[in-house]
Amino acid sequence: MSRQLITTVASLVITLTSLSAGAQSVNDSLNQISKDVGATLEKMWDPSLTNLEKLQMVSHKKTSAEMALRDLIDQADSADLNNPSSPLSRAFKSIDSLTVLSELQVNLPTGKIVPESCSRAQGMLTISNLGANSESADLPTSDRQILALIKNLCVQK
Amino acid sequence: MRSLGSLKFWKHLGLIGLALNLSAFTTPQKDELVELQGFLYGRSDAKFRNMDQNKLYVLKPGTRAVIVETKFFEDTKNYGLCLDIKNATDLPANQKCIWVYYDVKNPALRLYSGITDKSVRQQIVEAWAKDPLKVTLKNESSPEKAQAAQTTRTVQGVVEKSSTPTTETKSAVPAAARETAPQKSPGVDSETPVKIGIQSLAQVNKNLDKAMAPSSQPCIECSKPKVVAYESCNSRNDYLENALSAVLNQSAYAAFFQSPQKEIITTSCIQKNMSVFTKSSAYFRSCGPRQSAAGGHIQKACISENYVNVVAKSFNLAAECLGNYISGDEAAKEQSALSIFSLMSLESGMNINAMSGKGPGGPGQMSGGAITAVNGLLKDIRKHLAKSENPQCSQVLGKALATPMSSDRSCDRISIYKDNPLKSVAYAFAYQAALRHQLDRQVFNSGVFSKVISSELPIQERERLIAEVTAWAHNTGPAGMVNPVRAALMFYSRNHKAIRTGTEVTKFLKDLRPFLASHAHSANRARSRITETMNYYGRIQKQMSYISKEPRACLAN
Repeated sequence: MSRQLITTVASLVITLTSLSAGAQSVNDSLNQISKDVGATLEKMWDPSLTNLEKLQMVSHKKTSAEMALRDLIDQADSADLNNPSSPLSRAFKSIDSLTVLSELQVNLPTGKIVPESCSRAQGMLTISNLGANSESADLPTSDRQILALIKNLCVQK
Repeated sequence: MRSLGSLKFWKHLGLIGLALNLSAFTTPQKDELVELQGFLYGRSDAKFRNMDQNKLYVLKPGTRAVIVETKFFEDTKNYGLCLDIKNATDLPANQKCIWVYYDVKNPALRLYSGITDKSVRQQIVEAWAKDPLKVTLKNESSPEKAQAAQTTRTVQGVVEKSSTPTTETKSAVPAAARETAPQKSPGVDSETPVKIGIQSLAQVNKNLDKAMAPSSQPCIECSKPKVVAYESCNSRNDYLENALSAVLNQSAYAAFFQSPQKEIITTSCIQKNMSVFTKSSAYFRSCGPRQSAAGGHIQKACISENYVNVVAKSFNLAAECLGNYISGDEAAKEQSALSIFSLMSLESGMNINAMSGKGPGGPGQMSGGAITAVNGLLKDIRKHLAKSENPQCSQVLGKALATPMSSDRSCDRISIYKDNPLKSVAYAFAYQAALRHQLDRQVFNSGVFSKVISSELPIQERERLIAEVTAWAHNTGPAGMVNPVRAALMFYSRNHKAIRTGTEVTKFLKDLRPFLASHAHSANRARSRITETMNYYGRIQKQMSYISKEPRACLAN
């Protein structure tokens, strides 16, 4: 009887551990997405890169990050979307940043960012933070950083 | 049952049918042949107001006649027709002809035009006179019988404009007959009448209509709402009338409003939308010509002909010019227009001075944040309008959008003196474009959910899915829709479900509802807001059911 109980408890512990390990593994993968995107965003400030190079990096990273998240989505818990600091929310948020930046377009002859695309990207950032019936949109810190990046790219000579 | 002799005659008549243009013809001429397809009052002279005591008969469907005289009404572009009825049994000898009203947009009779050969016409008239299906004219002078033939089908503005309604609301279709109101006559190829030439003209027409609208399909045309009598104004609700008159006659937009415009959503549906919206004064505010902050609550303005005209033309111009700006696809214009028309039914009933207590106002109930968001897009929108093939997009809508709407001054949202409703409707479209753009980028076009939103999903159903979610986002706010949709799609993905068909789109829109509660944005977490956001889409559908049994019937084409 007691042996049976011990076996049951043990298998439960193993199941929970493996589930936890699985969740941990998913979270690790999600964190990796955010980390990779963060590294790409860092490079956006690098003055040695041209605007075209930067936007190509954005485009490539966006595609690869989306594919990576797509492969994890079945294992992630959608309830984590309610927690902004969860690995899932941060992975989505980092891809959203790339989505905003991918609105930017380069004028090939001049290498400058097309001004209309700057206002589109800024507008998208603002709108994505607009709640219902809001009279204004307050940007969170992470989005203020993206806004600063857009402004930097758009004023660059 | 018909004899063989008459069969020969009808075969001949079928060949005659080649000479006929059976499609609906909107300019009736003297000597043309007509056949009634609905009940109509027959009158002794060309006066068609309800108050005119000149109704002689109720003419039944199947009544066939020759037009003896026509009278054109400049105001409405409709006609009075005096008919020499050919298949009546009890027409008094002293009655030369009987007047009926011919509403060009909503005809209850079919014209057979293009028969130039007099002998052919004579043969048809003789055939009609021999037609065994005689139509009995019944004297309907008694009010009781006239009531029995009551309808809400409108016969508009028959006499010169006056303060009294110029409509005939008791014209003649019993309730049961309304359900089978005549359909638009389809165009036909010249072979068709020959193939079925042995049938009467009415049967030919019926068969053609049936062929064009197979019975397995829902009859969209049948459920199209009709323009009903315009509301009469009184001293408490006529406060927009002078300004509307100025917009129509003296403003920079007068030429646009006075000329006929393309309809994407029918004027009748827009009229209905405006009319069925609540009359409670809690939802309406006033703004004088130089006012910037909205005044106190005021009665709902009367839904007059001028009001409907201005709102309908403003909406349809925005739909024409900005419908493709929303989706980036010309073919999706109609879906965008229908979705925005639907959300406006709940938000404001398209009443231009609708304003909620919290501040959102105008047909799209724009908040300050939404206005700011659109203002950020104005340059891009003007560029889009400038590229349009329709010159009215840049000349009329471009003019209305030349200056941004203020996000602080509430009258900018609702005042007719501030380029509204052209501007306010355009802002509602532009805001939908902004929402759509964001949802497309973050959800629907994102590679993350490419397995759930199947590539097999027909493009028009995909468009419906996105347009409906975007309309829903009008209430949740953009930030309030992204996570619920993502969560719903994650749920689908985890359960190996995909959206492949129109039915699955409808199912997904239903399945999305609980995620509005479980994944509510911080601005939507109050209990009242959770209820509101969850029920918003359902409430739109309910409100639309008051306007039309089938929402797509509100599309002009």
